[in-house]
Amino acid sequence: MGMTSSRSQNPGMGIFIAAVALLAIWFYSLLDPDPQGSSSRLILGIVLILLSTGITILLLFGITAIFGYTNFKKGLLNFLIGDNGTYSLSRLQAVLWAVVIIAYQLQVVLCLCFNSHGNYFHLYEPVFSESVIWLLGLSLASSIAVKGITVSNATQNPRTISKNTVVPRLGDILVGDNGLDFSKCQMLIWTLLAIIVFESKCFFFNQELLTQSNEGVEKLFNHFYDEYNKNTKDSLDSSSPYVPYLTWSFVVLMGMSQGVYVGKKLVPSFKLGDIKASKQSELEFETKQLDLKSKILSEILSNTAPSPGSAIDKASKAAIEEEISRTKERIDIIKGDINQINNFLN
Amino acid sequence: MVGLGDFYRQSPTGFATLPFIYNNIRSLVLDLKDKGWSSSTPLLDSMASVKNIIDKMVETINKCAQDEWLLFYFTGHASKYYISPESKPITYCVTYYQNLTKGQYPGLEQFFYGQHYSRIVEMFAKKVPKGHLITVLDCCYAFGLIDDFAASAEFHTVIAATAHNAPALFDDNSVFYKEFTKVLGQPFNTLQKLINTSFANQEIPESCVIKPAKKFESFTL
Repeated sequence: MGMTSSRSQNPGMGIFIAAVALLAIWFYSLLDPDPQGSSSRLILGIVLILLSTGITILLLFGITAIFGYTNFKKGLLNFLIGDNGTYSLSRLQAVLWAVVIIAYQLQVVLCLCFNSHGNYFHLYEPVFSESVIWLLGLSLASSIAVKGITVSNATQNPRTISKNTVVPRLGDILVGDNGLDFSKCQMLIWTLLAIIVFESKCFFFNQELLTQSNEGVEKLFNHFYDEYNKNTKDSLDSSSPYVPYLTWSFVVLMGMSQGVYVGKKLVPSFKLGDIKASKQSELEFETKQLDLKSKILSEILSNTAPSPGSAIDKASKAAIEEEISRTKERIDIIKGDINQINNFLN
Repeated sequence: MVGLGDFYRQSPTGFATLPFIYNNIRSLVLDLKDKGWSSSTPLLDSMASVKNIIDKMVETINKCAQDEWLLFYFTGHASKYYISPESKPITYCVTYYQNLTKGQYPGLEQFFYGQHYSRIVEMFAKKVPKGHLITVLDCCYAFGLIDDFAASAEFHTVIAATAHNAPALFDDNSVFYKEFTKVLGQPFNTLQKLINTSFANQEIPESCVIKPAKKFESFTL
């Protein structure tokens, strides 16, 4: 099975490597002597982002392959599988942000190496905006919190651990314990939106890095956006882009979104309707069985008789009558419980 | 008739571990009634103590006419008691005692086993010399009980079957009783074959042993 799976994944990986190689060639061919052409700059910027993302994925694949995870599914996608064996949104987020940020650094390196004024690789500094570091931190913290909750739940309720092999599916990312989960859905949307916005910032930053002179590059690396500084706000029309960032309000939004997602995992995952139906069914079954017991005991009494003068038989008859009475009382209590459940939830 | 569905532990459902014992007794009462028998009030649950069983049997035997037939039926659990780890186990019927379901194991004197029954069989032989004693054991380890309970085969018929795998509830009978009721009208010396053939045809992994009293081999209930 392992060999078959490995072989079926390899053609896909081969195509991916070929695509990255083609992007690299395309990128190199776009580095024409007319960097001012707006259409070619647009394509160059997009190709650069795609190329760096592709190289980052290949890099991760290479690392997993070194440690023996030799195909795409058993390698890279394994990063997305949570402790319960399904694909995890928090892990997906952490991986996405890691890929985006590593790719951004690769873009910076490529831009410096292929700067129109020459090779400026010596100016390279791994600079990040604070907001991006916060976003990466939030997604990592979220994935760790989710791991903690999953392990804690499994420890407290071992019966919830599936004994069958869990096959991860793409749908796991949006599905909770009781079907589609809106908190997951909205968080995925915010994450994708944040990545698109961040990549657009990278696009403009890269354009400048490709064309700026030595001095301009140094200035760019120190050009951080400060949302709460009035002077920075006033200078938003500046032609120089900032080190790629996301606004703090967006970081707060992502933080709240992560908080809801993690918090939701801490509250019981059942739907009250399901519990009601299950409990009712359980109680109705118990009532039915006790009702049968009561009828059977009554029938035994009506078809048997104490032997004349037998103290044991008299005591036995009294014990059966008492048992019938206790059973009926128990049935009444259960019926009361059923009514209480209905009244409480209706 | 004796029925005790409880065992040394509570069942997860909260019901007795063998809830079908009530239905077994009801069915036997009705089956016997159809055949002209009369049944005294059965000993169920907390009344199914070793003392009550012995007292009831003594009381009944003392009231029997010389040629009367007496049927003893036990439905419930049985178990094995080891006096020492190396000794041969003594099979006993689980009878009621305080804290039965609390997992406390009392001494053998709290249970009904071969020694008790031997005395009852002896007493029956003396008091009811022309009678027929029929012992029906519908419980786990019934085969272990049979050697101890089968004394004096001249007038004593023993019918034993295990039914410990029966996943039955209140409205069902034990696996054995379902087959037993089908052949009640047949001679004692044919019952074993009939029941075991039926088990085999249904692929039920159970079997029963019937030792008919020599005097009454071709008789029916």
